[in-house]
Amino acid sequence: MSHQAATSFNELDPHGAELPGHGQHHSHPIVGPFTLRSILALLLVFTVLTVGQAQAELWLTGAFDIAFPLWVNIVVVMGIATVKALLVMAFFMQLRYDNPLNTIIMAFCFFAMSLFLGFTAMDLLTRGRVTEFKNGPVVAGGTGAGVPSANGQPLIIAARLRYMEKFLSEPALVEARLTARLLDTATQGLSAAAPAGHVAHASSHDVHADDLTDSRPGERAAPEVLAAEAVNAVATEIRHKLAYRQSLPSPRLFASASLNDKAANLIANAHPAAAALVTAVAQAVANGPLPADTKELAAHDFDLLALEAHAHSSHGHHDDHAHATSDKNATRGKTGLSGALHTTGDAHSDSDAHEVHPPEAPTNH
Amino acid sequence: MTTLPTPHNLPPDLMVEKKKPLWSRYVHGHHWRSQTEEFDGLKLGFWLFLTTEVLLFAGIFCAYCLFRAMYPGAWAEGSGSLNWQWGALNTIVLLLSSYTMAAAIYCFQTDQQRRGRMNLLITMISGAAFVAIKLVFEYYPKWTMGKRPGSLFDYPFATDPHVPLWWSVYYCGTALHALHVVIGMILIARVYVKSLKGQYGPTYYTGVEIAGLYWHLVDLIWIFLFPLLYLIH
Repeated sequence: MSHQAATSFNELDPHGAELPGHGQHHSHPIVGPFTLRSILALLLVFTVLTVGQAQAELWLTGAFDIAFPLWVNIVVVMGIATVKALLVMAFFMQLRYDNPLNTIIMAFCFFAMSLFLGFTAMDLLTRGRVTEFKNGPVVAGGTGAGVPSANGQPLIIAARLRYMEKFLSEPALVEARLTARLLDTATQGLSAAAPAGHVAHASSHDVHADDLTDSRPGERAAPEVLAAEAVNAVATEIRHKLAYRQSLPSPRLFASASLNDKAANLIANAHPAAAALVTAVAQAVANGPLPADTKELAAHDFDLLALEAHAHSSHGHHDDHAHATSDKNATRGKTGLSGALHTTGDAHSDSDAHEVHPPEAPTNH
Repeated sequence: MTTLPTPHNLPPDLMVEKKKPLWSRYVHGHHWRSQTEEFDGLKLGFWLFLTTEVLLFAGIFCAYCLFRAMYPGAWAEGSGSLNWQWGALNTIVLLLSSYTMAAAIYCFQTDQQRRGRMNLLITMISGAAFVAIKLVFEYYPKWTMGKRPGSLFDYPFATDPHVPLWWSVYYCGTALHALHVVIGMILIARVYVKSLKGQYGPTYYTGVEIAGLYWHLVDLIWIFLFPLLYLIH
């Protein structure tokens, strides 16, 4: 068993690790601050690159009219992520300075992961090739219809129906809705009264018109237009609160208070006529009657809220989403509340359910 | 620094047995042949554990990739409603904390106890900031809007019927990761408390190294989670 002919063999220490100067205080390589900081700088640069990549792609598409295929985004972003991961593993986790066995272990881990993902993908994504009727998405399993609280419908439909019930019956929500509608009527009236030639942000579909500054700085807008913008801004704010389910206990007081604030702003910016108009609307909201409610108008309100929610939630897809949704609403008119209300109180909302499902898979008959 | 201080070349006033710092008096476990082997062995064992942690998240990555392939519309809708700014801020916070963790190891390797402890503290605070940003700016607004995982889903303005799946994957991935951040913070806190007694130094810093490996793994997982969830449309 002895491999050391010259020195005496110690059975408890065959490799001579306990001998003085051998391995007892073997210093693990120290990764110095310069290396650490350079790696940190590199990582931060890559983070900026990763985040800016999407914007860069958009810019390049706009400036040079190149259409990038979808995989470019994925490959670039995941490539940068891989490089960052390799830097962290090699230098921060000191794999570079370590026993190579640690690196082999980590490499094996990624290999195991690729087996995991690869075989699962190979199975799930090719099921349609073997049996035709398994082609397409798994509708029943993916939509949460089996969940007890969903009552046999896709989760999103059940959520929508729950909200619609509250939306139509809960006093505070009803009042907020009707207040917003009253403000819409006021906005339309004001912009109709405006002298011709002034562009007014009077459409209640425009969810971005909540700042008073007009886009044309040099022109003095008519007082009706300014008042219309102010009133529309308050209506949008109320809708925003409804869409994001923020509490709004006394909508009329909130509306009249906001309108009075806007009037004060207008006076401060030397628009007394506009301020007077806004104050009049504030008084009408505070004291006057609220408009009558009908199911069709309630449906319209709900669709407006959906637009608002989508416009604010899809970053970078603002216009596409808003337009797509409004197109859907225009052409099919069945999304949201309108769709469910057209089916006479039926909890299953068949038309709505069919409309949001992807095309049915062809069945083998 | 070309040579590390060892128990044999400490300044004379520290060579007295009682005044020798705790780290210099460390004796490796006797089932190990040497301290080097103990250190290397513990590291190897911890790397094996880290592979299991990666495979844990591999399950979630697998779910993400396959559901994305099967339901691209839901994934586009869900990913679009995430705010990449918070994700990027969290990425930067974690990268900085990884740096301070590695710097803490360096400090203990060069017997800069106070600096090392400060770096550990900054790492813990960054971890807390990560969790706080996630809870306050991401989870709370989404939860109140009804964007919740699984059967708790209650968002009335969703358009794609498979979007609750997206939310399940999102919450599972990020919450599991946040849990790992908290566990990492507990490990680092333990190291911090032990270092107050002078437990770690140039010849013995295994605990700091192990806690560092765990923390870097947490950072690694976020480096992959962030682009997948926030950046790929």
